[in-house]
Formats: sequence, C-alpha cells, structure tokens
Amino acid sequence: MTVEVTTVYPAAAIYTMDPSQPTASAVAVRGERFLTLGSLDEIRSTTKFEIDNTFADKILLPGFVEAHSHGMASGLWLHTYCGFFDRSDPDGKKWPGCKNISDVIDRLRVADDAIQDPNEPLLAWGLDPIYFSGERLIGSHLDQVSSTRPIFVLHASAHLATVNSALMRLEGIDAATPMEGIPKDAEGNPVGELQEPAAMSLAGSAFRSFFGRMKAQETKWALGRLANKAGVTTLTDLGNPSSTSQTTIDEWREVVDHNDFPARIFIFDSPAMSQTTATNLLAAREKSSEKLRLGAVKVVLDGSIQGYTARLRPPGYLNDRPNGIWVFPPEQLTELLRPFHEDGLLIHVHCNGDEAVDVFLESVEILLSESPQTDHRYTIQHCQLTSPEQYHRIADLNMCVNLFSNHTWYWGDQHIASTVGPDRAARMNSARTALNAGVPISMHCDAPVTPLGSLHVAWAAINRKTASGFVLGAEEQISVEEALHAITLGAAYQLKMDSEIGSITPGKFADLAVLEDDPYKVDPNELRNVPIWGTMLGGKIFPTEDT
Amino acid sequence: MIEKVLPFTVIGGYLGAGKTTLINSLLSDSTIGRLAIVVNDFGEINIDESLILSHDGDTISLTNGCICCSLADGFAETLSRIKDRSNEVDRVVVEVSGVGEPRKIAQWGHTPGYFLDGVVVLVDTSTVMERSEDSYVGETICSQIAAADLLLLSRCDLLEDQEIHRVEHWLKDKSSAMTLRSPISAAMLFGLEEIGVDKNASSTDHVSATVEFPLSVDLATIGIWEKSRPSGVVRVKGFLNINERAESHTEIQMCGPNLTMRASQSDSPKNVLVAIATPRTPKASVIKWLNLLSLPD
Repeated sequence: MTVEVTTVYPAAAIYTMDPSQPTASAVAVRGERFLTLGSLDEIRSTTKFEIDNTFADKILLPGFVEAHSHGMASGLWLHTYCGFFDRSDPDGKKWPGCKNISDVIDRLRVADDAIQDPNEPLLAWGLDPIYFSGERLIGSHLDQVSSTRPIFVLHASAHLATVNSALMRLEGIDAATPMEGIPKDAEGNPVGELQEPAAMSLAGSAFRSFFGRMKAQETKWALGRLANKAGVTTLTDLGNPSSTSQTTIDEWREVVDHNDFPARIFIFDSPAMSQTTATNLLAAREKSSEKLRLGAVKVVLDGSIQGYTARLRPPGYLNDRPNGIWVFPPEQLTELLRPFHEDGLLIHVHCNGDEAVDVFLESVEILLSESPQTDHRYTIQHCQLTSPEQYHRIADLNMCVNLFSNHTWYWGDQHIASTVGPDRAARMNSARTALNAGVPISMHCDAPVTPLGSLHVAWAAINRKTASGFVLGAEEQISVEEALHAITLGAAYQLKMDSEIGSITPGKFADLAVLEDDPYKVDPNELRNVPIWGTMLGGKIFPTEDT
Repeated sequence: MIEKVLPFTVIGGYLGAGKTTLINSLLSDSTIGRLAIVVNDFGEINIDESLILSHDGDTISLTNGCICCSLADGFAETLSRIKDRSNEVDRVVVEVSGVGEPRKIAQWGHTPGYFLDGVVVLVDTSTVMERSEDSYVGETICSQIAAADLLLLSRCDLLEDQEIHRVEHWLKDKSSAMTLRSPISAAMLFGLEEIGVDKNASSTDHVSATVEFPLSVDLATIGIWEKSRPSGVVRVKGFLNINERAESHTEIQMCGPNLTMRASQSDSPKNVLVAIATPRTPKASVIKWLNLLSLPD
C-alpha cells in the first residue's frame, strides 16, 4: 500500500470558518482532503510531510461557495460585452463599462472589424440603457457600426434587444410587422427595438446563433475559469430542466470530472418546467460525483423587482404600478413540492417579492405538518423584500435564505427612485434582520445577472452602497466575519455540502480561496478589490491565468 | 409557390377553468383537421394512450394526424419545428399555463409562417367572481380575461341561468371579448366554414352566412362596419380589396370583436366574407350586417 504524500502549506494567514480553530498559520493536505492545521511546529509533531511555500505570503480562506448562479454565466462571453459596469471575461480580460451610447458604438466597431465573414451577425450583450441619461439607443445608432452586417444586442434585463437596419432588412421586420413589442417611429417604421422573446425571435438567425452558440461544451470550461478568478470552488447551475437526462449529465461530467477543471458544480433541476419526478431525481443523485452534484429542486415563483414582475405585498410598487406575475401558480406549489419533500430532496424556491415568500412559507408549513423532515434546509432564493415578521416565521420553520446582496450596488438607486422607494429599498436583502432572527444566510450573485464574484457579494452586504455611492439601509449592514461566513460555510450549508466543504477542517475537501490581501485587515470598503491569486480544489492548485 | 401560413390560436385561462377538457375534445374532433397542440409539458394533457403513435421526446404523434409539442426548448425552437412539417399540420393551438399571460403568448402567433387566429380564454363560471378577489391570483385572472377575444364560460351546468347572467354581466366590465357558454362547436371556435362556399344546409350548432362584394371598400367603412357587429357573430373571415391597401388583396379575420387584416396569401380574386354566428342568431341579421360593407357612404 502506497502512502499518499502529505503537503504542508504555510501561509501569511489562514481563516478557517471552523469555530474550534478559527485561524492557523499552516495547513496540511493529503490527497484531496485537509489532514490537519495549526502552526508548522504543531503539524510537525503529528505527521511527516513536505513543505510547499507557494502560499507563504498569501491569505487562505475556504474556497468560496456560490449557491445561486447559472451554467450559462460564461456562455455570454462568446459575444461582445457592452454593459455599463466594468467586467472581466473568463480569460481575465477586463472590459470597461460602456457609459454612454458612443462607448457602445465604439465597442461594437472594434468587434465588427474583428469578424472576417461579412454576413456573420455581430452579437453583443449586457446593454444597460437605464444608466444612460437622455438619448435612447436605437437601430440607427447601430447602423453607424455597420449598414451591411446584422447586429443583435441583448439588453442586461434579457427581455429586449436592439438590432440594426441590416438585420431588420434581412429578416423582414418592417412597418407591416404586426407583433406587439416592436416600437415604431412617426412614419411607422420599426426603430430597432425588439421587446420580449416573441419579438426578439424575429431576429431569426442572429437570435438562434446568440443562444445556440452558448450551448457549446467550451462554455463549461469557461465557467470554471470564471469561478477560479473569483476564488469560487463550488458553484451552482440553479434550475436546469434537463438535469436528469443522461446526455446532460454526461456532458457536464465530461468537463467537471476532468482533473483540470477547477470547481465543483451542483445542478438543481426545475421540475416545474421539466416534469422531473422525485424518482428521476433520486436516480440522478446517484450519478453525482465528488465534483458534480445532482438531485435537488429549484422552483421559480415570481419575477424580478427591477422588472416590476416580482409579487409584492401591499403597498406594492410605487406609482400604483400593477403587481407582478406568478411564474408558477401559488396554489400548486405544495402539490409540486410534496413528492420531493417526502423523499427528503433539497428544495430551493425563488421568491423575490415578499408576497411570494408568504406563498412558499405556507407550503412549507403544510408539508412539514404532513410529513416532518428534521434537516430539510428549505431555502428562499433572493428573498429580497422579506419583513422582520416573515423572518420570524422563516426561523420557526428552520429555513434558510440566500440573499441577492449585489442588488444594492447594481439597482439600489433604481429601487429608491422607481420600484419600491427609499424605505423598502433600505430593507432589501436584510442580512442583519435575518441573522438577528437566527436564520442561516448566504449571499449570491445570480451570475450572469451580476458577475460571478463572492468578494463583491460580501462587500455589498457589508457596505450596502449603491452605484451612486449612497449607503442604502445602514441598519442592515453585517460584519466582515458574518459576510465571509455566508459566502463559504453559509452557502455550503444550504447546499447540504457543509460536511464536505465550506471550512478548512481536517477531513473536508482541500478547497481554498487564495488571496493576496487579508480581507479582515483591508478597509471593508475595499474588500471587493482584494486580488484573488487562485484556488485549490481537492488538493490541486489552480492559479488564475493572470497569476 | 405560396408559403403556407398556419392559423395560431391561443387558449388561456386560470387553473381549473377547463383548458385540458377543451383540448382533449379538440383532439378527438375529426372536423378540425390536423392540429399541432403546443403545451408547456405533456403532464398538462392526459392523452389517451391508445391514440399515441410515437413519442420522440418533445413531440407526440397521434394516430389521427394530430401532434402535441412540449415547450421544453422554448417557443422559437418549437414553432420552427412545427413550421418544418407545416405540410402535415392545419392549425396550431397553444395552451397557456394557468398563470400565463395569453396576450404575451399571442405575440408568437405573429412569427413568420403563422398568423394569430384569436385568443380564447376559459373562465370557470362557478368560481371566477370569487377568485378574481383573491389577493394572490385575482389580478392574474382579471388580466387573462382582459386579454381575450373570446371568453368561454365553463361549468355552466352547475349554475342557475340567473347566476350565469350575473357572471356574464360582470365580465362585460372586465373585457371587450365576446362571451360564449361552453361547449361550443369547433366551427365557431375556429371559424371552420370554407370561404366562398355558401352552404344552404343549416347546421344545428352554428349559423353561417356568406356575402360577395362587387367593389373594393375603404378602411373607414370597415371601421364603422366592424363596430356594428350583431352580438351573435363569433367569427368572420374572407378577402377584400381595400382602397388603401391596393398593393394586394387583404385577408380579413374577426374573432369576437377583434378585427385583423393581412396581405392575402391566396390568389383568389374574390371579395367575399363568411360570418359564423351562434345558433340562435337570425341569419338575415348577419347577412344584413355583412352587406353594410358594400353600401355607398
């Protein structure tokens, strides 16, 4: 029998998230798991080892865990980014935000020059005109980029696209097109905006190519690179209607199980879309590997607050705007969840608005009274407008919440001005209230909705700054310690993976986030800028490509 | 060659309103032709096993020539698949989920290769007024009702006539749609009468009337005419030469009060309309109304 080599990594500081040993100066790894930790002398007294000084001046934390992201987070990078905020692609290239229409045109011109085939459409994403003051971006702006090549630009909301005249000519979108959601000018000609999927699909081959290319296997590898750059070692594909199909599982395992892939991925099914049964899901769970996890449920109940489609309790949206929509019928939720509940499967439900939270809580109350489960870890995803009274019910039901803390930064100003007003915006993603009520929390980015980046998510919950620099709801700020716990062990708990990952504890997988600065020592305002050196996954070191 | 354009009918309505019952009755009605039924998932319709010819994941083919398609890959993909086999299909019927928005789904009916042929919303007559007050789903139900061209009242057999009247009256405030008590014939639901063939044989389940017009008409005349539709007229379809649209023959559709026009794909030079009305509508009143179109101003 061969004995596996033990490697000890001394570090500038190690923060473990393990309450019995919160800090250490060295950690020993054997095979793919942590063996022991402490000072070098303490470790020396217990075992034989080799020293690896790679992390001697680095700060080690448990690998970050992102409990609400999507597999498509990387695929969008096949197309040209033209969003408002600076963003980094899977290869580490930094893309400055497009702050106005001329930035967008410049960005697209560069992309246009780079495409050889004159007929190939130029595809772009992330456009966020909500931040552009004044003029609205329309097709004629895109005509300045090319009058011959079709151009399709998906907006950040993903609910609309802007296209140029060449595309409209090619696909026959004109004054006579009867569909709603195609604004027209004074002469009755379409201005180049396609609202909602039916209108967007009229973009024909550009539309198909935009979404079709994102299914390539390569995008899974790119997802791993995005995670690595963010210090994330476990992430989720939260809501995949084909998670139980053997083809889907094979495609994911081919990449994720590869020795060079730097992350664990947990794929949640969406039975409301897929008709997946509890039996299918139990069978799929058996096909999990150490790196690819299957066998959990995600349901979407309502829409989004910034899209005015989340279901809100009174007084609803500002200016008497109508309440949002149900994506799934509220009175069928209990029935949908019952078989999964009875089989003890993990269930997460998307509830942005507080009324959606009520519906989920009512279902969980019924299901738990019918058939008690001691360790269910029902999790409310987003949970953005939840009131203190609801948090008490959540605590009574032993449920968890995964907050969309990045909202304060990305849409906080809009929430103050347009959706719910300053008072309710201040209670959005109320991490402090949740913790005070004893509710286990995590925080997420919902990539690709906001960029994959756990330190940003933590920074947002600690500082609660809006993009204009306003502190929104200082009462709901949490400490650095609480935030870092939420993006490691807190998220692992909600995935029921906390016995394997989430802290630097002997016996757990050796998954680390390797940082250049000490998150406990930097100004909390700067936490999101702490450089990530890379990660360790199951004992294997993955420097970022920049490193 | 003229590209085939498939009629696209949307069937919406809240949970329990009777969508599944209606769709199953359509699947067993041999007068309709070959339907492509589009549903969110197959669990929503209970297809009789003995009718299933083959099942290839997203599409179920039935022995009567109909197909059922699930939306697993999204609308764009599903409609493109149906278009690929449009020579095997006469009509597309889309079932909207119980909380879905029929008006939004209807926009897919304007996809090239299709035309929107009406939004039908089912209403559970026995519960709709109470449910419309529900704090969770009341607005959803009301917005579905507002989106309809035709409202089909189900479960009328459970109610007294007076009670149904009360619901019908209440619906008038909620929607400009035409209200009909379920069940209705497929001829009324889809306007199945052939254009330009005046059958004198009377049908027990609907009234139909055909009128030919010697001259072309103005849009303004159509605008006045459509507003004077007799209350029993469910569907109108046919072809007109319209002065303002001289570049092509215009195909006319009316579903309830909602009139739509599009450039005709047919090479029939005739100016002819057929109207389909409820069984108790006097045929003479329908003919009189159709003839209003050819009256001089």
